[in-house]
Amino acid sequence: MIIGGRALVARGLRDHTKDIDSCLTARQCPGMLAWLQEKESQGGKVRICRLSAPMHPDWLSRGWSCHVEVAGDRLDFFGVPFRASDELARRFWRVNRVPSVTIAPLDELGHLKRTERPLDWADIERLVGQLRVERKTEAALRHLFGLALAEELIRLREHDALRAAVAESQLAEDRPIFRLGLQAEPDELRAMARSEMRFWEVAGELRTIAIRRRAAGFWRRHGAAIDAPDTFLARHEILIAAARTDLPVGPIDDPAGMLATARAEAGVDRWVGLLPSNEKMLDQYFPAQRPWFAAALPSEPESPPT
Amino acid sequence: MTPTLSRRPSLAELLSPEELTLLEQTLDDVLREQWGPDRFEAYTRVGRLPAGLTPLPTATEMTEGPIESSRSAR
Repeated sequence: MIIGGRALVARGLRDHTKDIDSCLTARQCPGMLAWLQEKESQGGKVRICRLSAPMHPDWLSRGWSCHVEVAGDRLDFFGVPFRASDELARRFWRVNRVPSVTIAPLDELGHLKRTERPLDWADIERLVGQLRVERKTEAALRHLFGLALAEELIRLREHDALRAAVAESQLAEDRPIFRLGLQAEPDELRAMARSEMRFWEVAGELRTIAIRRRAAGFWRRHGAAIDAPDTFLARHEILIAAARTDLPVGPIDDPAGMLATARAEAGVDRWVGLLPSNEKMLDQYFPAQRPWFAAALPSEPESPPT
Repeated sequence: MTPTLSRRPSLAELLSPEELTLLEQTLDDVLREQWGPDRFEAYTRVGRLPAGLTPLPTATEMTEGPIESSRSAR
Protein backbone atom coordinates (compact mmCIF):
# COMPACT_ATOMS: atom_id res chain seq x y z
CA MET A 1 0.00 0.00 0.00
CA ILE A 2 1.48 3.28 -1.11
CA ILE A 3 1.50 5.90 1.63
CA GLY A 4 3.27 9.24 2.07
CA GLY A 5 3.88 11.79 -0.65
CA ARG A 6 3.61 9.25 -3.45
CA ALA A 7 0.00 8.55 -2.44
CA LEU A 8 -0.75 12.26 -2.78
CA VAL A 9 0.95 12.39 -6.16
CA ALA A 10 -1.09 9.42 -7.30
CA ARG A 11 -4.25 11.30 -6.41
CA GLY A 12 -3.18 14.49 -8.12
CA LEU A 13 -2.77 16.34 -4.82
CA ARG A 14 0.96 16.97 -5.22
CA ASP A 15 3.28 17.41 -8.17
CA HIS A 16 6.19 15.35 -6.99
CA THR A 17 7.86 13.56 -4.10
CA LYS A 18 11.41 12.40 -3.65
CA ASP A 19 10.82 8.86 -2.43
CA ILE A 20 8.31 6.03 -2.33
CA ASP A 21 6.82 5.06 1.03
CA SER A 22 4.86 1.85 1.24
CA CYS A 23 3.33 -0.46 3.83
CA LEU A 24 4.04 -4.15 3.34
CA THR A 25 2.16 -7.01 4.91
CA ALA A 26 4.13 -9.58 6.87
CA ARG A 27 3.70 -12.03 4.02
CA GLN A 28 4.98 -9.55 1.44
CA CYS A 29 8.38 -9.13 3.13
CA PRO A 30 10.09 -12.20 1.64
CA GLY A 31 8.74 -11.41 -1.83
CA MET A 32 9.97 -7.83 -1.65
CA LEU A 33 13.42 -8.98 -0.50
CA ALA A 34 13.56 -11.39 -3.44
CA TRP A 35 12.46 -8.64 -5.82
CA LEU A 36 15.18 -6.31 -4.55
CA GLN A 37 17.77 -9.06 -4.98
CA GLU A 38 16.54 -9.60 -8.53
CA LYS A 39 16.91 -5.87 -9.21
CA GLU A 40 20.48 -6.05 -7.98
CA SER A 41 21.17 -9.14 -10.09
CA GLN A 42 20.05 -7.13 -13.09
CA GLY A 43 22.73 -4.56 -12.38
CA GLY A 44 21.16 -1.99 -10.08
CA LYS A 45 22.95 -1.86 -6.76
CA VAL A 46 20.55 -2.03 -3.80
CA ARG A 47 21.97 -0.11 -0.87
CA ILE A 48 20.54 -0.60 2.61
CA CYS A 49 20.38 2.93 4.00
CA ARG A 50 21.78 3.92 7.37
CA LEU A 51 19.18 3.92 10.18
CA SER A 52 17.25 1.14 8.46
CA ALA A 53 15.75 -1.77 10.36
CA PRO A 54 15.39 -5.23 8.80
CA MET A 55 12.57 -5.90 6.37
CA HIS A 56 11.12 -8.42 8.76
CA PRO A 57 7.73 -8.57 10.55
CA ASP A 58 9.29 -8.53 14.01
CA TRP A 59 10.54 -4.98 13.45
CA LEU A 60 8.14 -3.59 10.84
CA SER A 61 5.10 -4.56 12.93
CA ARG A 62 6.22 -2.38 15.84
CA GLY A 63 6.94 0.86 14.00
CA TRP A 64 10.41 0.43 12.55
CA SER A 65 10.94 1.01 8.83
CA CYS A 66 13.35 -0.35 6.27
CA HIS A 67 15.05 1.97 3.78
CA VAL A 68 16.85 1.04 0.60
CA GLU A 69 18.16 2.86 -2.42
CA VAL A 70 17.81 1.20 -5.80
CA ALA A 71 19.79 2.87 -8.57
CA GLY A 72 19.34 6.22 -6.88
CA ASP A 73 15.63 5.78 -6.05
CA ARG A 74 14.83 5.78 -2.35
CA LEU A 75 12.25 3.22 -1.19
CA ASP A 76 10.96 3.30 2.38
CA PHE A 77 9.11 0.24 3.64
CA PHE A 78 6.82 0.28 6.64
CA GLY A 79 4.68 -2.44 8.21
CA VAL A 80 2.50 -0.91 10.88
CA PRO A 81 3.42 2.78 11.07
CA PHE A 82 2.79 4.83 14.18
CA ARG A 83 -0.71 6.31 14.26
CA ALA A 84 -2.00 3.68 11.81
CA SER A 85 -5.70 2.92 11.99
CA ASP A 86 -6.88 -0.51 13.05
CA GLU A 87 -7.65 -1.26 9.42
CA LEU A 88 -4.07 -0.62 8.35
CA ALA A 89 -2.59 -2.38 11.37
CA ARG A 90 -4.74 -5.47 10.85
CA ARG A 91 -3.85 -5.49 7.15
CA PHE A 92 -0.26 -6.23 8.12
CA TRP A 93 -1.28 -9.64 9.46
CA ARG A 94 -3.63 -10.55 6.67
CA VAL A 95 -2.99 -14.10 5.58
CA ASN A 96 -4.93 -13.94 2.35
CA ARG A 97 -3.33 -12.38 -0.66
CA VAL A 98 -3.71 -8.62 -0.75
CA PRO A 99 -3.68 -6.55 -3.94
CA SER A 100 -0.10 -6.00 -5.04
CA VAL A 101 -0.48 -2.23 -5.05
CA THR A 102 -3.08 -0.01 -3.44
CA ILE A 103 -3.10 3.65 -2.59
CA ALA A 104 -3.77 4.51 1.06
CA PRO A 105 -7.17 6.09 1.73
CA LEU A 106 -7.13 9.85 2.39
CA ASP A 107 -8.41 9.40 5.92
CA GLU A 108 -5.53 7.02 6.70
CA LEU A 109 -3.00 9.43 5.25
CA GLY A 110 -4.38 12.15 7.49
CA HIS A 111 -3.53 10.10 10.59
CA LEU A 112 -0.07 9.17 9.33
CA LYS A 113 0.81 12.76 8.55
CA ARG A 114 0.36 14.15 12.06
CA THR A 115 4.09 14.63 12.52
CA GLU A 116 6.64 17.32 13.30
CA ARG A 117 7.21 18.17 9.63
CA PRO A 118 5.57 21.32 8.21
CA LEU A 119 5.32 19.56 4.83
CA ASP A 120 3.07 16.94 6.37
CA TRP A 121 0.72 19.59 7.75
CA ALA A 122 0.58 21.17 4.30
CA ASP A 123 -0.39 17.74 2.98
CA ILE A 124 -3.09 17.48 5.63
CA GLU A 125 -4.59 20.71 4.29
CA ARG A 126 -4.61 19.20 0.81
CA LEU A 127 -6.31 16.09 2.19
CA VAL A 128 -8.94 18.19 3.94
CA GLY A 129 -9.62 20.00 0.67
CA GLN A 130 -9.97 16.76 -1.25
CA LEU A 131 -12.16 15.13 1.41
CA ARG A 132 -14.41 18.17 1.17
CA VAL A 133 -14.55 17.78 -2.63
CA GLU A 134 -15.59 14.18 -2.12
CA ARG A 135 -18.24 15.39 0.35
CA LYS A 136 -16.65 13.40 3.18
CA THR A 137 -17.25 16.24 5.56
CA GLU A 138 -16.79 14.33 8.81
CA ALA A 139 -13.43 12.99 7.62
CA ALA A 140 -12.44 16.50 6.54
CA LEU A 141 -13.29 17.79 10.01
CA ARG A 142 -11.33 14.93 11.61
CA HIS A 143 -8.17 16.24 9.99
CA LEU A 144 -8.84 19.93 10.48
CA PHE A 145 -6.37 21.54 12.89
CA GLY A 146 -5.17 24.85 14.22
CA LEU A 147 -6.84 28.17 13.52
CA ALA A 148 -9.07 26.77 10.78
CA LEU A 149 -10.47 24.31 13.32
CA ALA A 150 -11.00 27.07 15.88
CA GLU A 151 -12.89 29.20 13.37
CA GLU A 152 -15.00 26.22 12.30
CA LEU A 153 -16.00 25.55 15.90
CA ILE A 154 -16.88 29.21 16.39
CA ARG A 155 -19.19 28.95 13.37
CA LEU A 156 -20.71 25.67 14.49
CA ARG A 157 -21.95 27.05 17.78
CA GLU A 158 -24.19 29.46 15.93
CA HIS A 159 -26.29 26.43 14.93
CA ASP A 160 -27.82 24.44 17.78
CA ALA A 161 -28.33 21.24 15.80
CA LEU A 162 -24.79 21.21 14.46
CA ARG A 163 -23.29 21.99 17.83
CA ALA A 164 -25.24 19.22 19.58
CA ALA A 165 -24.45 16.65 16.89
CA VAL A 166 -20.73 17.37 16.82
CA ALA A 167 -20.48 17.16 20.62
CA GLU A 168 -22.24 13.79 20.60
CA SER A 169 -20.36 12.27 17.67
CA GLN A 170 -17.40 9.93 17.44
CA LEU A 171 -15.42 12.93 16.25
CA ALA A 172 -15.62 14.47 19.74
CA GLU A 173 -14.70 11.12 21.26
CA ASP A 174 -11.50 10.92 19.21
CA ARG A 175 -10.73 14.63 19.45
CA PRO A 176 -12.38 16.16 22.53
CA ILE A 177 -11.66 19.67 21.23
CA PHE A 178 -14.81 19.14 19.15
CA ARG A 179 -16.71 19.18 22.43
CA LEU A 180 -14.65 21.46 24.69
CA GLY A 181 -14.09 24.00 21.95
CA LEU A 182 -17.80 24.57 21.50
CA GLN A 183 -17.93 26.25 24.92
CA ALA A 184 -14.61 28.08 25.09
CA GLU A 185 -14.09 31.79 24.51
CA PRO A 186 -12.67 32.44 21.01
CA ASP A 187 -9.16 33.36 22.18
CA GLU A 188 -9.08 30.41 24.54
CA LEU A 189 -10.29 28.14 21.77
CA ARG A 190 -7.51 29.31 19.43
CA ALA A 191 -4.96 28.58 22.14
CA MET A 192 -6.48 25.13 22.63
CA ALA A 193 -6.32 24.41 18.91
CA ARG A 194 -2.67 25.48 18.69
CA SER A 195 -1.80 23.36 21.69
CA GLU A 196 -3.61 20.29 20.37
CA MET A 197 -1.72 20.51 17.07
CA ARG A 198 1.53 21.14 18.89
CA PHE A 199 1.08 17.86 20.76
CA TRP A 200 1.36 15.91 17.50
CA GLU A 201 4.41 17.93 16.46
CA VAL A 202 6.21 17.36 19.76
CA ALA A 203 5.32 13.66 19.80
CA GLY A 204 6.71 13.38 16.27
CA GLU A 205 9.93 15.14 17.25
CA LEU A 206 10.41 12.90 20.28
CA ARG A 207 9.71 9.77 18.26
CA THR A 208 12.12 10.78 15.48
CA ILE A 209 14.90 11.65 17.92
CA ALA A 210 14.48 8.37 19.82
CA ILE A 211 14.48 6.22 16.68
CA ARG A 212 17.42 8.01 15.09
CA ARG A 213 19.48 7.76 18.24
CA ARG A 214 18.82 4.05 18.60
CA ALA A 215 19.35 3.26 14.91
CA ALA A 216 22.47 5.43 14.66
CA GLY A 217 24.11 3.55 17.52
CA PHE A 218 23.20 0.21 15.96
CA TRP A 219 24.59 1.22 12.55
CA ARG A 220 27.78 2.60 14.09
CA ARG A 221 28.38 -0.80 15.64
CA HIS A 222 27.29 -2.96 12.70
CA GLY A 223 27.31 -0.81 9.54
CA ALA A 224 30.66 -2.02 8.22
CA ALA A 225 29.70 -5.68 8.63
CA ILE A 226 26.30 -5.14 7.03
CA ASP A 227 27.82 -3.38 4.01
CA ALA A 228 30.51 -6.01 3.44
CA PRO A 229 28.80 -8.83 1.49
CA ASP A 230 28.47 -8.66 -2.28
CA THR A 231 24.77 -9.38 -2.59
CA PHE A 232 21.76 -7.55 -1.23
CA LEU A 233 20.25 -10.65 0.42
CA ALA A 234 23.53 -11.45 2.15
CA ARG A 235 23.77 -7.88 3.44
CA HIS A 236 20.20 -8.11 4.68
CA GLU A 237 20.94 -11.41 6.44
CA ILE A 238 23.77 -9.73 8.32
CA LEU A 239 21.41 -6.88 9.21
CA ILE A 240 18.85 -9.32 10.65
CA ALA A 241 21.50 -11.27 12.57
CA ALA A 242 22.88 -8.08 14.10
CA ALA A 243 19.39 -6.79 14.87
CA ARG A 244 18.49 -10.02 16.65
CA THR A 245 21.10 -9.25 19.25
CA ASP A 246 21.27 -5.47 19.24
CA LEU A 247 18.11 -3.78 17.90
CA PRO A 248 15.00 -3.99 20.10
CA VAL A 249 11.91 -4.83 18.06
CA GLY A 250 10.11 -1.85 19.57
CA PRO A 251 11.79 1.41 18.57
CA ILE A 252 10.52 3.41 21.55
CA ASP A 253 11.51 2.30 25.05
CA ASP A 254 8.78 4.07 26.94
CA PRO A 255 5.78 4.91 24.73
CA ALA A 256 3.69 6.21 27.64
CA GLY A 257 6.55 8.39 28.87
CA MET A 258 7.04 9.79 25.36
CA LEU A 259 3.39 10.82 25.12
CA ALA A 260 3.43 12.28 28.64
CA THR A 261 6.42 14.44 27.67
CA ALA A 262 4.64 15.55 24.50
CA ARG A 263 1.52 16.47 26.51
CA ALA A 264 3.59 18.50 28.95
CA GLU A 265 5.64 20.29 26.29
CA ALA A 266 2.59 21.08 24.18
CA GLY A 267 0.72 22.40 27.22
CA VAL A 268 -2.44 20.45 26.44
CA ASP A 269 -3.11 19.64 30.08
CA ARG A 270 -3.84 23.30 30.75
CA TRP A 271 -7.31 22.21 29.65
CA VAL A 272 -8.76 19.15 31.33
CA GLY A 273 -9.62 16.53 28.73
CA LEU A 274 -8.34 18.40 25.67
CA LEU A 275 -6.74 15.17 24.55
CA PRO A 276 -8.23 11.73 25.15
CA SER A 277 -6.95 9.79 28.16
CA ASN A 278 -3.34 8.61 28.24
CA GLU A 279 -4.57 5.09 27.58
CA LYS A 280 -6.49 6.14 24.48
CA MET A 281 -3.64 8.25 23.15
CA LEU A 282 -1.27 5.34 23.63
CA ASP A 283 -3.69 3.24 21.65
CA GLN A 284 -3.98 5.86 18.88
CA TYR A 285 -0.26 6.51 18.56
CA PHE A 286 1.22 3.04 19.06
CA PRO A 287 -0.70 0.29 17.27
CA ALA A 288 1.44 -2.35 19.01
CA GLN A 289 -0.12 -1.23 22.32
CA ARG A 290 -3.65 -2.12 21.19
CA PRO A 291 -5.18 -5.06 23.06
CA TRP A 292 -5.71 -7.17 19.95
CA PHE A 293 -2.21 -6.61 18.62
CA ALA A 294 -0.33 -9.09 20.83
CA ALA A 295 -2.79 -11.80 19.86
CA ALA A 296 -2.10 -11.08 16.18
CA LEU A 297 1.61 -11.74 16.52
CA PRO A 298 2.29 -15.15 15.01
CA SER A 299 5.04 -15.86 17.51
CA GLU A 300 7.48 -14.09 19.70
CA PRO A 301 10.64 -13.11 17.85
CA GLU A 302 13.64 -15.30 18.39
CA SER A 303 15.77 -13.94 21.22
CA PRO A 304 14.19 -10.51 21.29
CA PRO A 305 16.56 -7.97 22.80
CA THR A 306 15.12 -6.06 25.71
CA MET B 1 -11.09 4.69 10.16
CA THR B 2 -10.31 5.87 13.64
CA PRO B 3 -8.61 3.40 15.93
CA THR B 4 -11.33 3.47 18.59
CA LEU B 5 -13.37 0.29 18.81
CA SER B 6 -16.56 1.42 20.58
CA ARG B 7 -18.17 3.81 18.19
CA ARG B 8 -20.40 6.77 18.84
CA PRO B 9 -22.68 7.97 16.05
CA SER B 10 -21.27 9.65 12.97
CA LEU B 11 -22.40 13.11 11.94
CA ALA B 12 -24.24 11.56 9.01
CA GLU B 13 -26.30 9.57 11.52
CA LEU B 14 -26.98 12.57 13.73
CA LEU B 15 -27.79 15.23 11.15
CA SER B 16 -30.55 15.61 8.57
CA PRO B 17 -29.53 16.11 4.93
CA GLU B 18 -30.30 19.83 5.27
CA GLU B 19 -28.14 20.10 8.38
CA LEU B 20 -25.31 18.24 6.65
CA THR B 21 -25.49 20.73 3.81
CA LEU B 22 -25.29 23.55 6.35
CA LEU B 23 -22.24 21.87 7.92
CA GLU B 24 -20.57 21.60 4.51
CA GLN B 25 -21.28 25.27 3.94
CA THR B 26 -19.73 26.37 7.23
CA LEU B 27 -16.63 24.33 6.44
CA ASP B 28 -16.34 25.79 2.96
CA ASP B 29 -16.71 29.32 4.33
CA VAL B 30 -14.04 28.74 6.98
CA LEU B 31 -11.58 27.09 4.61
CA ARG B 32 -11.99 29.84 2.02
CA GLU B 33 -11.43 32.47 4.70
CA GLN B 34 -8.51 30.71 6.42
CA TRP B 35 -6.68 29.46 3.36
CA GLY B 36 -7.49 32.42 1.14
CA PRO B 37 -9.45 32.06 -2.11
CA ASP B 38 -6.48 30.93 -4.23
CA ARG B 39 -5.44 28.10 -1.97
CA PHE B 40 -9.06 27.13 -1.39
CA GLU B 41 -9.64 26.87 -5.14
CA ALA B 42 -6.40 24.94 -5.61
CA TYR B 43 -7.11 22.44 -2.85
CA THR B 44 -10.70 21.85 -3.84
CA ARG B 45 -10.11 21.70 -7.58
CA VAL B 46 -8.09 18.49 -7.62
CA GLY B 47 -11.16 16.32 -7.95
CA ARG B 48 -11.47 17.63 -11.49
CA LEU B 49 -8.37 16.19 -13.08
CA PRO B 50 -7.29 17.32 -16.55
CA ALA B 51 -8.64 15.35 -19.50
CA GLY B 52 -6.82 12.09 -20.03
CA LEU B 53 -5.91 11.57 -16.38
CA THR B 54 -7.79 9.03 -14.32
CA PRO B 55 -7.68 9.24 -10.54
CA LEU B 56 -6.45 6.04 -8.91
CA PRO B 57 -9.25 4.53 -6.86
CA THR B 58 -8.62 3.40 -3.33
CA ALA B 59 -7.71 -0.23 -2.81
CA THR B 60 -7.92 -1.11 -6.46
CA GLU B 61 -6.04 -4.18 -7.42
CA MET B 62 -3.41 -3.71 -10.06
CA THR B 63 -1.81 -6.55 -11.92
CA GLU B 64 1.75 -5.29 -12.37
CA GLY B 65 4.57 -5.97 -9.94
CA PRO B 66 4.81 -3.91 -6.77
CA ILE B 67 7.32 -1.25 -7.65
CA GLU B 68 6.64 -0.99 -11.34
CA SER B 69 3.00 -0.25 -10.57
CA SER B 70 3.74 2.46 -8.08
CA ARG B 71 6.02 4.14 -10.57
CA SER B 72 3.23 4.18 -13.10
CA ALA B 73 1.41 6.40 -10.61
CA ARG B 74 4.04 9.11 -10.87
